[in-house]
Amino acid sequence: MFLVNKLGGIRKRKDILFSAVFLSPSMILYTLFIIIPIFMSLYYALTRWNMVTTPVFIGLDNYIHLFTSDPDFRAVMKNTFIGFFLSLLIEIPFSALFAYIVYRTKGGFKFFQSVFFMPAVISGAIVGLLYFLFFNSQFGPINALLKAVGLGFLQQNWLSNKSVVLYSVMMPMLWQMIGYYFIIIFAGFQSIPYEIIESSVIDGANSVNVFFRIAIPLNKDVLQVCIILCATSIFKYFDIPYMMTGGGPGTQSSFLSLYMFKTAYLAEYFGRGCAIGNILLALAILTTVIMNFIFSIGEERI
Amino acid sequence: MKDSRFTTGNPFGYKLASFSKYMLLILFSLTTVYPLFWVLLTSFKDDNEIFGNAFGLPRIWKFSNYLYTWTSMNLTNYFINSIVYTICAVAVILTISGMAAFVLARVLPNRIIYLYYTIGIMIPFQGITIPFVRMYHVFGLNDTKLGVIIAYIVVNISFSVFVLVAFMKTLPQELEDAATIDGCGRTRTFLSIILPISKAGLATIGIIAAVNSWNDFYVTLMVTSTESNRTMNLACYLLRATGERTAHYGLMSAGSVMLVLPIIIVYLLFQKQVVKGLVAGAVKG
Repeated sequence: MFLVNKLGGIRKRKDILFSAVFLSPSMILYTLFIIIPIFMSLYYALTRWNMVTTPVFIGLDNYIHLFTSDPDFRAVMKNTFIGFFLSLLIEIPFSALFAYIVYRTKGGFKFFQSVFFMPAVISGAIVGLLYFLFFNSQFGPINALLKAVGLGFLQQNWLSNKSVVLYSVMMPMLWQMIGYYFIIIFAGFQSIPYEIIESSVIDGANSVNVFFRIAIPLNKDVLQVCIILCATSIFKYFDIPYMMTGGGPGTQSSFLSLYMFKTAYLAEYFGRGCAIGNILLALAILTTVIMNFIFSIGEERI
Repeated sequence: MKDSRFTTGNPFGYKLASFSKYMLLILFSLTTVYPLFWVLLTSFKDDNEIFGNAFGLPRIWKFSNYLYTWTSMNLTNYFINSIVYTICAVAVILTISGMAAFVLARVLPNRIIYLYYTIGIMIPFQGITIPFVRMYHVFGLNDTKLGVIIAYIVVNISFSVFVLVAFMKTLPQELEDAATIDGCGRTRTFLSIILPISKAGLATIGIIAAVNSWNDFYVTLMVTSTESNRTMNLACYLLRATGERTAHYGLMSAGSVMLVLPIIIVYLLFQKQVVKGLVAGAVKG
C-alpha cells in the first residue's frame, strides 16, 4: 500500500518503469520527428545544400542574403505582415460583432452557428480550389455580379492582377475563420451571468455600452486565445494561396511558408529554405510570447 | 442555454433593430454559403454553358461530370487513402497520448517533461519541414503509407498530450486510489479506470486529430510523391492543375463538390460534437 497525494508520494521503482514504458512511444516519435529536426534546421540554415551532396558550411550567408540582397524575401515579408494585420483587424472584430448580434437575437442561433462555422471544417486545399473557380475572371460570379449591379469598372483579373491578388488570396481565409472565432467568442458571451447585464440595463446602458464595457472585458481570456490563434495562423498560411495562385504572379501572393517551399523545393536551396523556416519559427514563437506578455500586463493592473 | 442569452424581454425594445439584426445575419449567412452553392450549380453545367451562364441554374443538368471526374481521376484511390490514414492516425494518437497524459497527470507529474511535450504546440510544421523530410529519408519513410500515418501522429502529439493532461487532472483521485487498494497495478488502472472515464477528453482529441488529418495538405504534400499514396486534398491540386490546363471547369467543379462533400456530411450529422471538440481544444490552448 502506498499513499498517492498531490505532491507525489512515495515513488516505487515500478512507477518509474511504468512511466518509461508509457511515455516512450510518444516521446520517441516526438523527439525524432519534431525536436531533433528543430536543431537540424538550425544547422542546415548555415549551409549550402541541395539534398544530394553533403552540405557545405557557409556561416550566416543565407541569412545575410535573405535580408540584404533578396527582393523576393522582402516582398514576401511585406505580404506576410499585411496578412498579419489584415487578418487580426478583420477576423477578430467581425467575429466578436457577429457573436454579439447572434447573442442579442431571440431565435435561430443554432442555424447561424451551423452556417457560420461550416467553412472552418473544410480543408484549405478545397477552399483554395473553390475560390480558384469562384474568382475566375471569365466565368466567376464576382465579375458578373459587379457588371449586373453597374459596378463593371471594378471588374478585374482577381487572380492575376498584381495589386489585387494578395487580397483575393486572403479573402478565403477570412471567409473560413470568422465563423471559427465566432463560435468561440459566442460561447464566451453565453457564459456571462445575466444579472450583470440586467443591472447595467437598469443603470441605463444601451447595446453598445454593454458590448464594450461588459461583454468584451469579461471575455478577455477567450479573446486572448482567438487573437493568438489568429496571429500565428498567418505564418502557416500555405494551402489556399498555393491552390489559388501558386504564389501569385511572381511573389505577389506569396506568404512566408509558401516562399520557403519554393526556395527549397523549386529552387533547391535547401539551406536557405531552412533559414527561412527558422525565421518563420522564430516569428511564430515570438508572436505567441509577445501576445501573452501584452495580455499579462493588463492582468497585473487589476 | 437560452436563459443566458441576452434576449429575454428584449430590454431595449427596439423592434426595428431586431429586424435589421436578422437581415445582417442572413446576409452574412448567404455570403458564407454562396461560394459553395455556386460551385454546386457550376458542377452540373456543360463547359460551354459555364462561360455564358455564370449565375443561373443549369439549363441542362450534366450529371455525367461527376462520374467522369471520379473515374478519370481515380478518386477512389485518394478517398480510401484519406480514410485509412485518418483512422489509423487517430487510433494511434489516442492511445499514445492517453498513455503519456496518464503518466504526466498522475504517475510521474514532472514539470520538465510536460514542458518538453508542450513547446511543440508553438512549433508550426512549416518551420521544420526540410529536416523532417530528411529524417524521413534516413528512416526510409518517404513516400510510404506508414510515413504519412506517422507524420499525422507526430504533428498532433503535443496538443493532444496538453489537452489530455489538463483533462485527466480533473478526474477524481479517489477512483484511482480505490483501484490501487483493490490491487490494480498501474496498467490495469489505466485500462479499466482511466480510459473509460476519459471519454470526453479523448473525444475532443480524436475530433481535432481526425479533422486535422483529413484536411491535411501540406504534410501529405511533403511526405508523398507518388499519386497512389496521396489523399483527397492532394487530388484537389491535381484537379486544379489539369482543370486549368484543359479548361474543363465543369469537371473541376464536380471534382470540388465530391471532395468537399464528405467533410460537410460528417459536419452536418455530427455538428454538436465536431464544433464542441474543435472549440474546446482551442480554448484550452
